Amino acid sequence: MFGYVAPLKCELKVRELALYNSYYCGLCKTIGRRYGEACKLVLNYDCTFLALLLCGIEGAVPCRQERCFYKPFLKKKPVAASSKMLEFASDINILLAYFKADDDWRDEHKLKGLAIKVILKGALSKAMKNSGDAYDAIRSGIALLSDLERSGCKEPDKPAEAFADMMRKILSLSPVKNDSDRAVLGHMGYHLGRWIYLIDAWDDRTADKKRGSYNPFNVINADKERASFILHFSVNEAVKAYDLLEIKDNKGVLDNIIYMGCSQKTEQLLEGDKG
Amino acid sequence: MNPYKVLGVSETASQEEIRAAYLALVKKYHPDRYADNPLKELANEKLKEINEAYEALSKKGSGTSSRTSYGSYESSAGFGGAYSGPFADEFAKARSYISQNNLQAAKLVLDGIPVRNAEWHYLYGIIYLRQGWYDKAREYLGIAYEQEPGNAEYRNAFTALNNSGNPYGRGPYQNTTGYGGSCSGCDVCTSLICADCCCECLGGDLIRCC
Repeated sequence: MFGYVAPLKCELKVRELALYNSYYCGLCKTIGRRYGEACKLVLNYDCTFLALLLCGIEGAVPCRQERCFYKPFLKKKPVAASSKMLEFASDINILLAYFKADDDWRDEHKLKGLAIKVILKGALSKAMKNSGDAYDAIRSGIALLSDLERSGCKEPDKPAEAFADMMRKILSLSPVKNDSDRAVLGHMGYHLGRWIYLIDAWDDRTADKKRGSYNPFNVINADKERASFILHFSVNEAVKAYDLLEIKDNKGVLDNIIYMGCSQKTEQLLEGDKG
Repeated sequence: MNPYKVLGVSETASQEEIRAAYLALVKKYHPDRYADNPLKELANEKLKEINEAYEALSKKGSGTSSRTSYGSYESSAGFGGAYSGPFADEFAKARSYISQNNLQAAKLVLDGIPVRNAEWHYLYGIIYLRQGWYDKAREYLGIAYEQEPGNAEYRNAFTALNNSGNPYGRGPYQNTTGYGGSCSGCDVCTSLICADCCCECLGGDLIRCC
């Protein structure tokens, strides 16, 4: 479910890639500082995008030269300094990872899910204290989603909406100053959420069929054309919302992710396997 | 407000550059692109700002500028409808609820209508579209179009929906470089002929031979 919202690297400028990496490292360090070293393992691209986006709206954070904990022999690298935006992104990262793992363990008894649950146990209560509203939104969103999945819902729009609505709530809680930005972010979150849920479902549909687990595309026997339509539509709506945001910084890399990264990923996965 | 910043051009930009930037932005925030979108108002405000910036800059330029900016207008997709069949009153009521964005009320009205004709499927499709259920929206608008292929409103809605669901269908605005947006030889010729006609109307001539 994670890692789909990422840049199209071959189209990035070298300095944009460096900027992207500095936020990735910055988010990693923020997670480490707030939740402990072990929690860094759930770091994902989607929350890096969130950090870049929020800092893009409120103003970029300075970079510092720091060494990576896991690569002590490498040179120091630029790392985005911690700020309210990165802290928010780190809370969301922990919460999403925990509830996803919880869901995996309960529904499919994946050992990886259990392991992540155990590792994040302490972090969860801290994240709940830091972002209580986000905690509620994610817990109820994932619960609703797994109810729908267990009942074998025959309309892909319904589970997609449950996930999308959760993302809308999360992005509406963003610590940005301007209220209208928050409304636009919420709308963008809704459509990105739809897209994330559906692209993940499309990506997993063959594995799900083998395992016999629920998949919104398998229950309706959707062909590529039908999937392509809803996936692209969701991305295009997210683009429209993004166009209404006043982006002060990080514009190059954000444009890349939103205009190219997501649609390229969609195309790649639609073409990728012919199943 | 700094008009140069709004249009995203440098302060040394020529009138042509300003105009090109302006047209690109009008496309980007065009009401048609944000029809059926809850962010319509914001897009409209943005367009207003762009228009003001452009007007300020074109006045500053030649002083004799006759290029008028695009007025900020409501979406061209009005929601009147010219349906006259069974249950016309109920359908009209549902339409007015939809135009007020009261989707629940519109659904209730539609659920109470026993016929399942093209109008019914069309209105239900629009409701699904507004609430973000695109798979359902396409199914219903598709049925409406099939039931009454001659109806321009149903056909337009269905084509518009399909266009925005294709990879490069960001409405008129396309940012992915390399696709579309090119100017063909045909475009150049027609533009020249057009310009020539305009000149001739005003007593001048651009292309001597025609």
